[in-house]
Amino acid sequence: MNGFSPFLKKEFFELWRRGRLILFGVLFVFFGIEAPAIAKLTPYLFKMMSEDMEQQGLVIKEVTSNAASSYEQFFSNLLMILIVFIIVYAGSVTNEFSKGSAIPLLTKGLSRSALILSKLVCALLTWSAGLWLCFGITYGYTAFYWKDSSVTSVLPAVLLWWLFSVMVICVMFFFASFAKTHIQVMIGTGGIVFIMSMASIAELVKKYLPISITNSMDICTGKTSVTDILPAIIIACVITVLSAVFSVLLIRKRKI
Amino acid sequence: MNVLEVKDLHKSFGSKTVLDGLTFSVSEGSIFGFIGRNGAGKTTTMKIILGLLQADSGEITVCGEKVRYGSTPTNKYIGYLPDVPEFYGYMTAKEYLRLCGEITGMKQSEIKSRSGELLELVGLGGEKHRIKGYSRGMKQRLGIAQALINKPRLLICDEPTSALDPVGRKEILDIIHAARSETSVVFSTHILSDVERICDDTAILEKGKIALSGTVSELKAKRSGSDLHIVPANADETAKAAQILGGTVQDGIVVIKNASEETMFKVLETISREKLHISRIEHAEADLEQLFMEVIGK
Repeated sequence: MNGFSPFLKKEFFELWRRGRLILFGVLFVFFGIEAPAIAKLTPYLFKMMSEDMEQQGLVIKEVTSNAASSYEQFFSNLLMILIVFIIVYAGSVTNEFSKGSAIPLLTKGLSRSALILSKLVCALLTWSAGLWLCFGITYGYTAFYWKDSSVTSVLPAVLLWWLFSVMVICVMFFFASFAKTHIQVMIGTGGIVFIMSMASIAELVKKYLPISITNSMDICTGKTSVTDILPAIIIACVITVLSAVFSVLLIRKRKI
Repeated sequence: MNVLEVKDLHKSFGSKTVLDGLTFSVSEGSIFGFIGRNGAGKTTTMKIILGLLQADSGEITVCGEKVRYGSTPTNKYIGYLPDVPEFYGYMTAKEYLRLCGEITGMKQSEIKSRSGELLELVGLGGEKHRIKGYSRGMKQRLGIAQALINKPRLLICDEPTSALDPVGRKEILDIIHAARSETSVVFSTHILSDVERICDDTAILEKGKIALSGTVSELKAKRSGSDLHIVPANADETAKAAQILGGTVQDGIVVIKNASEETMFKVLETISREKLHISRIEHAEADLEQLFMEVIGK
């Protein structure tokens, strides 16, 4: 894999120079703080609005929040950040070929495998660091504000969400290895997630679908155990590995 | 020794045959002009030499090593300048050359000294701005610098002057000419004056194969004769003069095609005998453009 290390360095340099590292940093920190903040502020907001609502005939009883409310907000935020991440990264590979910036480097000995794998590694490291930073902030605030036992196993839930996001990022690189434009990459990646969520309506196949591992609150509260969704976890791992392998194989065949 | 040898290369895109038994070679230390009209297959040939495109059949060797499709090891001998080079706009020229040097496996100290040397050569030595603000000519010059970073034995330039203004063209030609001291050059173009200016050997690509090849002077000599241009003193007499001298009228002047020295003497004799008033008569020097037009049948 010729040129992996210099190209990986270039990828991080690009993230920094184009301001994307700051963008992601701000997003992850903001949503890390936002989740417990929303959970903490919700009862106050309802209290403030209750008088107005009473005049309209709506009676609001006491609204309380707990650690589960904070994590519920955290997991729904993760999906939003992942969508932003996919939109930003969708053109990473396709632009190299459509604009032709990869050509001088490929003719200098950079292997195609090194090109796509260094981009994948950069994306996974950035995403993983951001996700765990986001979780760390939410965890810290949640532990500080709520000492209740509404959430029993948050770490496995976050780990599984992380696995799902890694799978989605690998699927995105699979599409990027042969797609011509970033729009095709987004449609392909979004399409796979959409099909999974549509299929998960059917109870029969639900436990096999990787999207099931993002039912994080059920896992957090102990409603679903990890063993219940073991087939989905295995399938998510298989899709992740296959996507990465095929992205390398397909980019080698890509016409320039 | 030949630094590049292309033998019986075939390539088709669907039903369209682009290369049909292309054969040529480039000797070490020369500047080779690869001439052909737009769509003749020049870029396709270069991409196959670089292993970016797969040939249907044929063989290419660079410095004696066979080219393979994909990541070909022969690229270590080659520096490539694409027709419209695209770089990372957020980098400076120095940062980009460092990336190129690192990818080719050069040492940091070597990269530093070579980058400085090359940026001076291409006139970007004092340039501190990022590449996104560069003009087309500046990008082309940086393109040559990146192509030369690892001291390649063969520099391949794909129409490096086509999109440039006359000043930019001259600069690029001067740089390529200066680079010949350390590398052989393959230079594709459809601008024939550029070829006449810097190339030693040339080949005209037509219908997927080499229609004509040799040194620039050899190619010129292959024309049977050059045209004779006669401008009558009185424009009204042009048609009459053409009839008497056995020529044709083109753009208000009398043209006698492929005129030898002997024809020239006969024409002068006729002018004198018929007392034709002539303001100018010249034996136009054969140029590549005429030859190119003849080869492509226009």
